[in-house]
Amino acid sequence: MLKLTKLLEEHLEDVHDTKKCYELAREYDRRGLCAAAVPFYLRACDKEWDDVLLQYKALLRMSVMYMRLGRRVHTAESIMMDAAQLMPQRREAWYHLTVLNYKRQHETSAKKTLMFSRLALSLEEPEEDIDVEYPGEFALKYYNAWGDWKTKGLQESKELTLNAKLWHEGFRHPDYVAKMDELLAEHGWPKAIRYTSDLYDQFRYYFDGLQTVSKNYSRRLQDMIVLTLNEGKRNGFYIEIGAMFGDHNNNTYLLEKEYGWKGLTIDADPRLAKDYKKKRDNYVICKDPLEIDYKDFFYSHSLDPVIDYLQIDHRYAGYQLIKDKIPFDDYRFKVISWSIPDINDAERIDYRSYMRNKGYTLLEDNIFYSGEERIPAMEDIWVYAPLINGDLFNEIMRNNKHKTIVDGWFAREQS
Amino acid sequence: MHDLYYGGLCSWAAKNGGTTYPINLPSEDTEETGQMNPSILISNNRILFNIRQVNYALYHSEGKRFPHLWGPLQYIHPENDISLTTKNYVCELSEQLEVTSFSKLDTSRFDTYRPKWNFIGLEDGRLVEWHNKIYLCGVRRDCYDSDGKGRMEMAEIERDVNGIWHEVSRNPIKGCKDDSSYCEKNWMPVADMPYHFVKWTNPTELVINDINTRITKTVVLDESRKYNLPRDIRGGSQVIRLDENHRMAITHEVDLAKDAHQRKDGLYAHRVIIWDNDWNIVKASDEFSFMGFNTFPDTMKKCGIEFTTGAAIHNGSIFLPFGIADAVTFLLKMPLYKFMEFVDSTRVI
Repeated sequence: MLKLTKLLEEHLEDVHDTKKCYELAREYDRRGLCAAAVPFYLRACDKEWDDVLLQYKALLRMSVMYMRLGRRVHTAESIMMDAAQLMPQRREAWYHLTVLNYKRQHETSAKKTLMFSRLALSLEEPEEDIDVEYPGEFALKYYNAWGDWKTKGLQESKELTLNAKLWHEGFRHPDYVAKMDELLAEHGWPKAIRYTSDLYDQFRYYFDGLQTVSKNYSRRLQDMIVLTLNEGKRNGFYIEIGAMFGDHNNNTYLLEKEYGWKGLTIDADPRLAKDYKKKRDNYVICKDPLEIDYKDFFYSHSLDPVIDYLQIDHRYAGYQLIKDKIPFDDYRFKVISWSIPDINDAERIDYRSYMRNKGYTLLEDNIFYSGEERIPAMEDIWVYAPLINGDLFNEIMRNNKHKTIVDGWFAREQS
Repeated sequence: MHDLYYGGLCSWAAKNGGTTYPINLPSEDTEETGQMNPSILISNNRILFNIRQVNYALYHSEGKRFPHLWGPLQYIHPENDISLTTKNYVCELSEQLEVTSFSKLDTSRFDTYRPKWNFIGLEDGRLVEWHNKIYLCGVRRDCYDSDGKGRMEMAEIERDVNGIWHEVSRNPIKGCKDDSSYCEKNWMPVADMPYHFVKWTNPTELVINDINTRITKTVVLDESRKYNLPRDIRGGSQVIRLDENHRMAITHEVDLAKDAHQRKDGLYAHRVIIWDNDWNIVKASDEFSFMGFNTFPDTMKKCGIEFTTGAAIHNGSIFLPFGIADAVTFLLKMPLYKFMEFVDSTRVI
């Protein structure tokens, strides 16, 4: 209450100071006191024309609050339209109009969602977050793809989703990563294949502690594969290049949280690195993976020459990392997962030949393969066989032959 | 420009030894909607504070630059609920004027009927203590007819051992004479005269209600004592003792203005009224706002909504609770002598 009292005192020093008015409103807003915030937001934007961005922010905060209150959609929409006409060159108001129509479940929702999201995407991405609950361009791409799909239902609609999923650069809000996956699944994209404890009897390979694993976090069982090949090893070590989100669809979360693994994670995106730090105890470095001298880096961290798991998930640099950066002659990796969706056939042959020359065996030939012909996603799993239990390795190789990931790792089809 | 015009009484008070305190109930208990029209009563050194909570979040574009779809002043109800529902929350405040406890007033013993109109609950309750009983005196409009007939009501309230406040008796008040008026509201209970109310201020009409027969009689009314003020003077706070020769109240007046398209708008202004013991108005301040309003740029006319239903004097200070925009409540505390300076410096009577 002290902060509110102080802001009120400051406001009363000059009730026509729009910034002070806004700050008082924002504090009520933070406290969830929507009705209390509204008059001060309105006064902040209703008084002067000298700070258009402040007016814009005040309007959008109000619209967010009325949406939060629920069952006041017309009011929220009215305010969003005011904001949009005030600064039509900015994306945030169009984004909120997009979401409002997406949620409306009205017969025109999909068209309006498509229209507003496309309009927003035609504008520049804002350089800074202005505190109006705009999650970034990736969210707009999701709504654009959703609106296009619901309106037209064409192959080109699916391409929008896929392109956003594969090629979007920059921050991806976790909520929209999940939504995009759901939409891809609706398009027939390979779904996430999860392990949960009720599949204990169907999982082909037992490893130490399996009975206590309630669920995995990887999208296509990568974490379960790593634990199987490491025979449920405790306190192992991983290198993770390309963090994405620390928990959702993450290959090392289970290793760290339930098996006590240590590890080093590298990601170039500061927002992803920040998000990762919040969720994880292990070390994350925010740096372009291509700028690192890995031999020096591993040496400076006194890493053992045998590393239990290497993950490479770097959209553009995966191949280059493998060929030019990873010190295969100095370090051995028991298991490697390498995700690279944009590789062409010649490069694939080339890189696989390179890996074989380094002594690695291809254990999973694209874990995203699930029987369909057209597989835009691509991720191989490699093992260094001399470091793997021979009987286990042979059994896995036998079971995996010509099979999808589900057939290979579950004794029966996953329902 | 004078602070009172520019920033309201609270800005003026801040420079004259006064402080304005935000008094809010937590959002999880009040659904984020309006908390408004507070009242105060100091009883046995306890500071009681009533907050009216409503089911809407008012939208008022005072400057008309960003009016709602349907006009500058709109009550934003849930889209599938046209009722205007009031709940009352009774709080206790510490000496530092922080809420130490609160409970929703439990009215279940008397709310046993289907509302006949869509203004539901006891509105604008003023706390008063008569014969060692605490009453919340406000208007009720949900039990008479489907046209919005309203009558003042004295709700006797008590706090149980668990800190929950209950309505223990409900006492509707009939209008004067044949009780044929449409709506009676904003009567100001006289704190030191049980069951007396100032029904109108200019000219002053003092009435008394018989709590048993519910009949109301006029005690004082002299039409010749009407002053030339721009608008009807309406209640207001309780009428409280200022000293042994005077009583005072904060009143309000309304200009139900329209915008250029004849859509609803509004200005609420306040005034301090001081009576002698014979109910002659001996002082009236100029109109004022508590926190200042935006100005409609085309006419330079001010618009804004504020309302008070309480006043108290305690240890040399005056306490004035008020709400703005039917949305948020505050308590202004200032030295009484400074407050009187304000009255004297702005008096129109």
